[in-house]
Amino acid sequence: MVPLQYLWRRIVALVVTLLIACTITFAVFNIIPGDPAMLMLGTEADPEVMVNLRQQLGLDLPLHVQYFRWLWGAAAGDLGTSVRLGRPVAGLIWERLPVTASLAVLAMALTLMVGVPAGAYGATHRGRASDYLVSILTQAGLAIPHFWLGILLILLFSLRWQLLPPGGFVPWAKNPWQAFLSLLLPAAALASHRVALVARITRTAMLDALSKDYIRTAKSKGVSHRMLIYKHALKNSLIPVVTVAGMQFAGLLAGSIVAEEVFALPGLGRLLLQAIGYRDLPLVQGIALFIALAVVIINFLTDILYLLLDPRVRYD
Amino acid sequence: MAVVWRTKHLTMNGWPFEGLRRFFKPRMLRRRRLNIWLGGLLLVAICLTAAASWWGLALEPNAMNIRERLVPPSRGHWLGTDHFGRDIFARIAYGSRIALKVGAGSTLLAALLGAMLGAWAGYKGGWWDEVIMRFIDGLMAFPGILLAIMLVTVMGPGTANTIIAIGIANVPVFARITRGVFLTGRNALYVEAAHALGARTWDIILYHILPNGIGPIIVQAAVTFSAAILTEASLSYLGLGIQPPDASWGRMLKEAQPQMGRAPWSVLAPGTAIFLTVLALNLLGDGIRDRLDPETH
Amino acid sequence: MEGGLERVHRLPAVLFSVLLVSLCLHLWAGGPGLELAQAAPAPGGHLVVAVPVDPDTFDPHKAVAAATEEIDFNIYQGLVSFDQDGRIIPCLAESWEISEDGMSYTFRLRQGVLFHNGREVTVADVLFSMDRIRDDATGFPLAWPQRIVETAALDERTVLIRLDEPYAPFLSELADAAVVPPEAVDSLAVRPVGTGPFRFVEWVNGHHVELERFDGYWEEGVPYLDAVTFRIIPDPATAILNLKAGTVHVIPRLSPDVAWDVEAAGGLKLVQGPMNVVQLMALNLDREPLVDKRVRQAINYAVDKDLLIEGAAWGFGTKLGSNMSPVMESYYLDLADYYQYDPQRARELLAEAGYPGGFDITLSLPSSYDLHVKTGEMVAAMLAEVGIRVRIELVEWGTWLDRIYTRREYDMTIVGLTGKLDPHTVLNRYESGYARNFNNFRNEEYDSLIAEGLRVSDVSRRQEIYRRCQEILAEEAAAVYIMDPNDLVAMREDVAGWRYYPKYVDDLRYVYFEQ
Repeated sequence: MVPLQYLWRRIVALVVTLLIACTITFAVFNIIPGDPAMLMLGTEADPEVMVNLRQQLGLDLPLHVQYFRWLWGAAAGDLGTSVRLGRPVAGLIWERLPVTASLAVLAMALTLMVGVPAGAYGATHRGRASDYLVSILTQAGLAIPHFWLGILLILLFSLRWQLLPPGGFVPWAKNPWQAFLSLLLPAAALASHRVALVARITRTAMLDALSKDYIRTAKSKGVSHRMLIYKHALKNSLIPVVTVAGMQFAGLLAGSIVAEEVFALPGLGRLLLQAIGYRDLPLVQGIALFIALAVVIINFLTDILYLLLDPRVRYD
Repeated sequence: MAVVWRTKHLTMNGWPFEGLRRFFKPRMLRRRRLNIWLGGLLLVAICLTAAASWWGLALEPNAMNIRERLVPPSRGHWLGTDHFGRDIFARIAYGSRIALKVGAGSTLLAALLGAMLGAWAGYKGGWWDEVIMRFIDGLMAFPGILLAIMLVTVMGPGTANTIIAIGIANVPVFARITRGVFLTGRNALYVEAAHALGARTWDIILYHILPNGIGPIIVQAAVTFSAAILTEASLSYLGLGIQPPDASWGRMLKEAQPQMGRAPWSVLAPGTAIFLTVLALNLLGDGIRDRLDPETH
Repeated sequence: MEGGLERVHRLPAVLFSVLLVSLCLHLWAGGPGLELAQAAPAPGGHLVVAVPVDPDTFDPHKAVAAATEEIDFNIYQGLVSFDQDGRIIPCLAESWEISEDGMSYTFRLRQGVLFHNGREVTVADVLFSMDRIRDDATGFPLAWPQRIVETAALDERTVLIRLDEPYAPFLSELADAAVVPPEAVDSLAVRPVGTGPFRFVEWVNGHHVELERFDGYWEEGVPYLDAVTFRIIPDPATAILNLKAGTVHVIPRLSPDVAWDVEAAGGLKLVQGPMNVVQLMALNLDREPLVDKRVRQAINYAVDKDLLIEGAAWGFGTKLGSNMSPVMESYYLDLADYYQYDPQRARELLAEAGYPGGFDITLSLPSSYDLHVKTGEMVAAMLAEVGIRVRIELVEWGTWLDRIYTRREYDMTIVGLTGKLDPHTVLNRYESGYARNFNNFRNEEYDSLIAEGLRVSDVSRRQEIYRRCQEILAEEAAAVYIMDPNDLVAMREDVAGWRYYPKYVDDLRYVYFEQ
């Protein structure tokens, strides 16, 4: 079990980190020029209407007052109103989240489904040609830029063979099969890097486990080879894999910013880029903060999970 | 102590591979030399291409010729031409200069800034440590590319700003590693001796403790170098990094995308360039790590 | 930039597109065109239109995004509307009178017009809508409603609107003022209710907006379609694939760099017409060395517009010479060749102005507009030929609006100015005192012409005035007027009845499927 005191300390640290992330977000985006009022009203706007709107948005208040108002709202789940879309930021995030989240989950599923077996295969066939093939593919996977892989996948699967849509998203509620298909290519592109990473880690962990005494003992006791690999070795090597997978979720969220652009998916990343283009500060701040929040919390949970799984760790 | 370092490294780094590697002592010794050779050769080739562009041996990367737009690879244009009829090979070569510049520049910046912050935090400890590391934690809450996007948005695009943004986004990793070194190093006997002899703080930091951290920092620098090139390509692809008319691999991809159905070479070339460069650096990085990492020996 | 050969090669294409454009315009100008003659429009069918972005809000008194307007046109209507030549035509008002002094407008309301909620439109709704637009708190983006000093119902079919001074473009502006039912006003942003030919069904953010035929629509015989879905597809390549597959029927405003894909495919057609947009390279006339007219003229001579149209817009554009698109037929003056491409002349003018070795200058480009960025890259190369060293700077749209458009901190920039229905609202941005005169153009003759144009209502005098205005802009080289980018509409071969307007709208009333 994880001691309560340790847990408590981690939670305090978590909250502090979040606060600092908030401050960084706000500070960064309030330095940039751009008049939200004008963005809302367009190029021909009447100056008087703009002054009114600025007041309405609280843009005439001193910066620190704006900051605390924003922070207070954020704590209550109110991230303000998008300047360009005129709708609550939290609502917009909530609306786009399913796309990004399902992309991340699908990519993670692909990562584990391909990465773990590949790594295990490499470990059990150590030194043979197939092991080298796995590690060459691994190196390639680590080096290939996922947005380029995305473009190549579109070129082949959509334009040449016309098997899968090149972009866009069908909501799950509309047509789950179509939704799945529309996410397949982006998820594959996004997963490439992580598949390689997981394969490498699994391979190393498996090799390590296979050389352990208890495996040798089991072997000498006559446990079958298959049993040995899958029940004992793989199970023990999954500890680092699981924790790495947890941490890669953050990377997936970040990676989806680019992947959504390649595949024109209406997710959080695209919303963020659009918001940046329009200097829609409340929206940019909201999304950046949301991603930071997700990353911090997922990392925290992974951390705890790791501690639970691995009894060898000390808590101080 | 070692165990603690391991968990922190693992959980907050976001690039847990080094930690795990130390943990599980991989036996890939045979591959080490091959890695360095292959990576080195590739990198030399890339540097030569960059040099060719530098010395003006390749065609002018920005010379337009609308009549010869989207010409497939041929003797006159080794990799074909783009939508403005510019020679893609010339642009790839120019792009390699940009990529290497951004990669090296941002890595250097990140290593310097990160090492300074980490050294100070680790050496001073207490209040300093708390403030600096909380700030670093805050920065780490943003995935690298997101932080880079945020910073570029604020500073505006362009080569110099891209270097700064990617550099800052990579500061936390270096800060953590250096801090780790200093946390252990500051209580070492010889450091206390230097202190007693009246050495100045920065002298102690620079000459007595830092040398112990050089290994891990160099390994991390190799990793960061290739990651920075990828980040630059992503930023430029999103239109936030290198600006026209400068050729950048990421931007070339973006510009070629609408034409890729009829001019596939225009998306193949820049992507391959990114891929090979990152591959070269990764291979070299692996090789260096194996050399420097005493635990795997 | 290579020499003249290309221009000769390009000519047929340009000629062809001009021909096609005028053909389209003339065919459609008088209502039903050739296509109707072949087959009578059959009612029914569900049309899917691909649009790149979500609407921002369906509240017509707040909406500014063009993407919203193109959908709104089918849902909301105002007292007046416009035809394909930009002429004002009756809509919810069946007729109107303008007083002698040009300050009072009396509208007679059409009878029996229904809102989508089934209620008949009354004068009270008109007054409510006018007052809502005038109210600062509503956030209507334009300033013209402030000119209204009084609105009143004279009887149950007549509305009076009084202005503070004569304002000739008033009716054109009024076409933007939707009449909405007061009872639905709080939810208009997400559940629009208007009087248009189509009724709102649903909006799935990021995916689609669906409309269905409004059976109570007041115009006889239209619309033909049963339903229309606007599918939000941000990526043009995806949209085209959908078009090929038949899951999308129309892509309005197709990006020119993917037009090749439509042209190459079977079963699709590509129609085009000018957009009523003026793409120009604005010059900041307060900055050295652009203060010097000779320098500005040199820049104009150094830019090869034909090559720009070919290189940046893939040939889909109409060359311009001043700040007006040929779509504005009755006011347009053809100055497209006022500055023939002549780099030698440009160098001479530069030398005359004291810059024989050229100079350094910054060209700011709005990064989200691919056409302007591409044009800018080419312009930079062209100017380099005559010794002007251009530094390109990409700025985000938000920054562009703030720094360049409002604070006028720039040397040169390329942007597209969206056309209006009235020449005054197109040309008044060059008036010395105008708040959005971001060129810093100042010319006394021009100012007095603009002021006169507001007061006179005689069309032929107004034509004279605005033609002279265009001439002044060209003479003074106030900017480099480049092109009106063609509006490309890709559609399935069986879709017919698409109409072009001088505004950014998709009119689906007359669209039908050929049998």
